[in-house]
Amino acid sequence: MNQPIIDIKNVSFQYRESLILKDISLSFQKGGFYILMGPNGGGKTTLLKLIMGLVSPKSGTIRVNGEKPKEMCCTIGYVPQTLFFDSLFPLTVLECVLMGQLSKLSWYGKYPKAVKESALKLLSSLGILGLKNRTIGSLSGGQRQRTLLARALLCDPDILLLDEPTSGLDMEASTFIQNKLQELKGKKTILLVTHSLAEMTSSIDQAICISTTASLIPSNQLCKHYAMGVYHPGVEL
Amino acid sequence: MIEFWFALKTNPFLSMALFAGLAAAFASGIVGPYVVSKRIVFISGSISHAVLGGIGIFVFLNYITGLTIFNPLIGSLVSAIFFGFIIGASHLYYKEREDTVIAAIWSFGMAIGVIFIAVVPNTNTQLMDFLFGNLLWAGPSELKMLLALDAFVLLVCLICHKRFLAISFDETQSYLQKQPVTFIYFILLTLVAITVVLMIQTIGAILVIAMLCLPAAVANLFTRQLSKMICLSVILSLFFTFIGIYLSYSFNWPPGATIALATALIYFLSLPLKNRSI
Repeated sequence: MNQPIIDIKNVSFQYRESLILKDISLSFQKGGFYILMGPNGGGKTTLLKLIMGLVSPKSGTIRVNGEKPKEMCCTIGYVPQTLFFDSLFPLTVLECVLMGQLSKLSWYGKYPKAVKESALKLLSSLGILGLKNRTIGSLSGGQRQRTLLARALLCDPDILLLDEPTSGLDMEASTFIQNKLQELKGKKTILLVTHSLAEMTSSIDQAICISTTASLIPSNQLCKHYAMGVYHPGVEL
Repeated sequence: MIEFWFALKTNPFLSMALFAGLAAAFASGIVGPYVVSKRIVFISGSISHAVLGGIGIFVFLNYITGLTIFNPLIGSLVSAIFFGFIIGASHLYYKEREDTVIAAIWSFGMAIGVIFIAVVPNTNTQLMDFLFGNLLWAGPSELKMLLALDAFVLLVCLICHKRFLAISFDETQSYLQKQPVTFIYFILLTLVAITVVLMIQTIGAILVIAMLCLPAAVANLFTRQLSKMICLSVILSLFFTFIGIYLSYSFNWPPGATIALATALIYFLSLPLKNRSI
């Protein structure tokens, strides 16, 4: 087997008195499509934050492309579950997408021309080029998620982390995101946190249940798990 | 108005006061939109009030040592940056009780300032000047210093504009892009601190918050792009300050309060115009 692109070994994470993740070991292969599911508060978002290096584990090691998460740059694109901001926030769609290449900003604060061109191409491929000068606060939920997906993809990351990207979206907007992820399958390693049954039945490589510990769920039991509301690992169905 | 123009030509104190007011308004017009967008209005309010602590300590040290280095202006700058960093650290590392820390620093700084100024004889007028502003303090050397600080604020904002925008919108994305988020945030707070010190001279510690956020808030009603918002905010700040000083001269009202009153009134009148973006 190839060297995993994300390698998590015996990781535990504690927030104050609460043990969120306990001795988790997981590995994700390059180009794989993985679903993370589990109960609220089970540690799914925390796992994503650990992979991104936004928080540090209490114990254990995480390697992304062989590097410590805090040392990597532009390896990961991230689409958050919800982004709370003022609806009057003075930011256009294009400005938001360009933030996906902040590291390319010159010392005097200009993006290279190539980055702007890539941003426009991405907006076009996601069907929101016409919205480039609209303010982020004026977008619908679906348009906003497409914008955040464009931002995550701008630096052409190897890994795409998505935290319930279709939460609260209507059928059309959800389907668009799901189809886009299917297009990206094999080209990027995708870790998708979701509660949506539709997303889970799509052609994924592996589903993992995160609930303090982590366990792999056989795909033939996936629908059964959710249909019965059983999210916890180790439960016989 | 003709009388005001004539007075500007003949009265050097008035023209100097107007220039000082406009110089301070320029900085607040630039920094204000970042304060409003990042929602650090109350952080700025806390810094502006806590600054009185540094002013009080420096007034006291000047009284007992006689050293000119203990200038209240330097005291205000040092304390503004000091308290700005403490509040910034509490925002980054102590989020659960951030508002309480802001309130504690707000009252702590003011209390220290009032006590130190009170123990120095004959400083009541000085205290009132710091609280409510006194445009007549400005001479040619102060004006040069104001213009130098304006130039500094403008230069830093030109360089850091997109980085300020990024951390204001989504700190997580900035971390992922390996941006020094903490450093950028502290640069922003330093700019706020410098602007607060500039504004204290004209409008006073108590009313600084009005000039820091209201012109930017009015600008935000007409545009949703930060760069345009800054340009509009600068124009509005200069306009409000000019109107305030003109009214203050015409009716013999205190200039700081008149500027704040004019600004707040125009803000309220602008609210129905919401969503007319350019």
